[in-house]
Amino acid sequence: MIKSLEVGTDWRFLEGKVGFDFTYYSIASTDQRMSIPTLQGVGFNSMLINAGKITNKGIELIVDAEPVTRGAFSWKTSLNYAHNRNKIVEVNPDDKNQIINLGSSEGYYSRIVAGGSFGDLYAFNFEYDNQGRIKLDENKKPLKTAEPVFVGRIDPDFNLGWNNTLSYKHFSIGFLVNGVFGGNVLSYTEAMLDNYGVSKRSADARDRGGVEVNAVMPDGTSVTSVDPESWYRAIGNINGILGAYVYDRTNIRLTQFSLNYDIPVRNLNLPVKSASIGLIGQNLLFLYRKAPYDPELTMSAGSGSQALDNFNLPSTRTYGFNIKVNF
Amino acid sequence: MKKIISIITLMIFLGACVSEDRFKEINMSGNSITPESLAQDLNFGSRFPNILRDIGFRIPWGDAQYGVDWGSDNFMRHTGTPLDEAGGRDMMSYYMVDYWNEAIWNTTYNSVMAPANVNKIMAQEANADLFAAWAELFQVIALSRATVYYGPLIYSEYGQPKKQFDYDSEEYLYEQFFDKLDQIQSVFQTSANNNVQDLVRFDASYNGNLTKWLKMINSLRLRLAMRIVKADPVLARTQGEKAIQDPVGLILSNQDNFNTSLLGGTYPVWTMSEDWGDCRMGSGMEEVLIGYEDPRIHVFFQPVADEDSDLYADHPAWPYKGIAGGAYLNKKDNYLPFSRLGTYFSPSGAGGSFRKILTAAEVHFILAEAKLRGWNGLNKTVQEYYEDGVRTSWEDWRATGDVEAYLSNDTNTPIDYVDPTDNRNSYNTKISITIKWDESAGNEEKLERIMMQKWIDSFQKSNEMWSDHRRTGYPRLSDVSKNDSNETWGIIPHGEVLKRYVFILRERQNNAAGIEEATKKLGPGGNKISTRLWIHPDKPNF
Repeated sequence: MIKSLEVGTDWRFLEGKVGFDFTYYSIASTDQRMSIPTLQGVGFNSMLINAGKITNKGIELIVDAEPVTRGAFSWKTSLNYAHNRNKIVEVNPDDKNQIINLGSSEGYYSRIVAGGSFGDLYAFNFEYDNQGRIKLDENKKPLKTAEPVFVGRIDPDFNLGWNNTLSYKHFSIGFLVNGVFGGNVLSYTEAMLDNYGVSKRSADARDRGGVEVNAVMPDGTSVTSVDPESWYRAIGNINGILGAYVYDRTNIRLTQFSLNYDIPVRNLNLPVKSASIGLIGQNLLFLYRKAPYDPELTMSAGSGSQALDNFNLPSTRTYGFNIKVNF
Repeated sequence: MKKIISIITLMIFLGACVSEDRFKEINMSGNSITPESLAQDLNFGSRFPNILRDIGFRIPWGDAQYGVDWGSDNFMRHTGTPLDEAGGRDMMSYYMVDYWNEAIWNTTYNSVMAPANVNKIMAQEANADLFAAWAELFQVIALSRATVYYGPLIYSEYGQPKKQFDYDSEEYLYEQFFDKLDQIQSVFQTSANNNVQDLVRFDASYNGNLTKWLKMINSLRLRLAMRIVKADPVLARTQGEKAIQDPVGLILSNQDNFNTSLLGGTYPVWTMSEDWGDCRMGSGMEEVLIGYEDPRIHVFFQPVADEDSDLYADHPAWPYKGIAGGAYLNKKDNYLPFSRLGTYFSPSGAGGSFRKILTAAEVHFILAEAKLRGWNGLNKTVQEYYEDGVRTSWEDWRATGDVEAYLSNDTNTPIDYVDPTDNRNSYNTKISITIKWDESAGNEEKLERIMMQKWIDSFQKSNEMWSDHRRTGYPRLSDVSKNDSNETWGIIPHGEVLKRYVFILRERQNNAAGIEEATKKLGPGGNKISTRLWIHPDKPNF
């Protein structure tokens, strides 16, 4: 069952030159049909239940304006902001601790847990002592937690989009900047590259003669540098410590840039109504990015592997050239 | 014209009128099985073959690899792996990895316990006692194999609608296994007396031959009895002698071996060896089989190619090379030319269509130990059981050679192992036992000799041997090259072996209270890989 509340308002000022559109929503999904794994002793492997309560609350805000219109020059801009907070209020009323694994793969778990949000990331992480030092074993390899622990939330805090069109006479330039702020992603690719010692990170560590760590041996000796091969094989491995490969999703990119020229055909006495040529580029560059790869790459995959980069194809940049002729 | 249309309409209408039976038939989905067609197979019969197959740990990317080939087969040094992406840390170097740790559990509960439970209920509802007993036998087989990994398991409470499941202690598990075997045996005996043929169509192991199943039940009882001989010598002897003295007898000839058919599937370890390059000979097999000049090596493994003869320069007459346990592995390619699994296991080979579970050779070696321990009802000598065990094993494995000459060899001993690509994995053999029976030797030496041959025969059915090794300390297998055990899941001191697998992650999370209770049943060591099982107490063998 889904209960949904939506409130919106749309304002226009200065002869429509400035607009303001605001929406608030609150959606509660309850009693969804779910297949949950049974306890191992029950005699069946899984069962269907109607349970769960998931809420989504958020706001969407769009501001658009034409700040400059002077003679042949005009600038149109619009900014939109979206914020969604997903919350798992309850999973299974009969079992408060019920965990549903949306997907898991060798040390990575995407889960639904009461109190968390949809698809929270769980992974094995380092063990720390009470001084915040990474605990090592006798061979100077880091210990990993006994159980997978919460390492991040997929959803960003908010998204921003900024779209602009500047025109002067027959020329126009458009660009779109998108920003994602907050949220986490996780990368097997980075882990495996480290494991094989083919990442830049591991090469740099070899050049420096060690990986700088704040760690401690079982006997209490502090360790500040460890052998790169032994370290990266221990953490980067498929059986490694994936908590080390959780990245901030925050990124700002130039999503689109276009340049357009309207060919003045009206006076040429041709059987052509209008014509234009243009250049367009998409996914052009990052203005800011925290993760060592495009963190948005995996966001459209199935619900079980959201936010997981496992040797995915890199995202592509595209360029286009347009000629438009209307008869 | 109107008339014609009316007639046609009437005809269509009449044509659509069919009897009720026909109506159902027409409206039935072509893809689903009707209750009627299921009833021909007693509703549940057709579900048995898959469960029986799954007892055999047969999933190449699941239990057969994570649980067995990279588990007990590796601990027994039967096989080794060139796999280097795991070259960091893994179960083979005593480092806990959850999805490896749970592979056997998953098969046991998801592929055997749950479907067998459903079958048992359906069979009981239909008053089909034999099928119900058969389903329960599957459960005993599967659980008795899983408990050598984890120790306590869910059994007495299995199938109940509970919110928390308590694990049975090992002590209680074995008590139930024996009770259950009594019940199952009595149903099978009654059906055999009445010449019931119901299992024939569903039984790829014995073609419905109930006498063979009864021999299997006796042999399983004997195996479980010997397993607990150090933990509860009195119960072990009672149950062992019961199995020995049962008039139907034990699996003593290879015709009666209990194997599980792969139902047309490829031998999983063959896939790992040939398709994935994940499995090669184990260093222990090289050590022992070459030292003993044992022809079973030609069956178990393929020789190394001539162009790689430098790999076996340490014994040029024997072109085989294995990989150490818990080895340092820096490059998979270095190890791919090592000895692959024998063509015996290929799809066209003699052993490529089934998995061995309980064979005559194993029963002979158990009887040799039983006689050594003074159990009653055995009319041959320890030596005779030992030698018959070797003979039966040679026959089962189709070894070519002079087995009598082999049995009289009192000079050959295992050789040292050399890893030609990484000397950190090389070691000197710890085994000095010879082949020929020595009646004047002490009990320990006699036991070691029996275990040595039991170990060779147990290739590709290492589950029981892994338990025997932890129980007796024999054979004296090599240590892991690399020991990655740590305080989180238990430290295995140098020279010792991994004692058990821990309770699985899903249970630790979803059945936390049950796991807490189960952990208490493991004693002070707790839920760690360093905690000895109840069946493997740290005390003398005699």
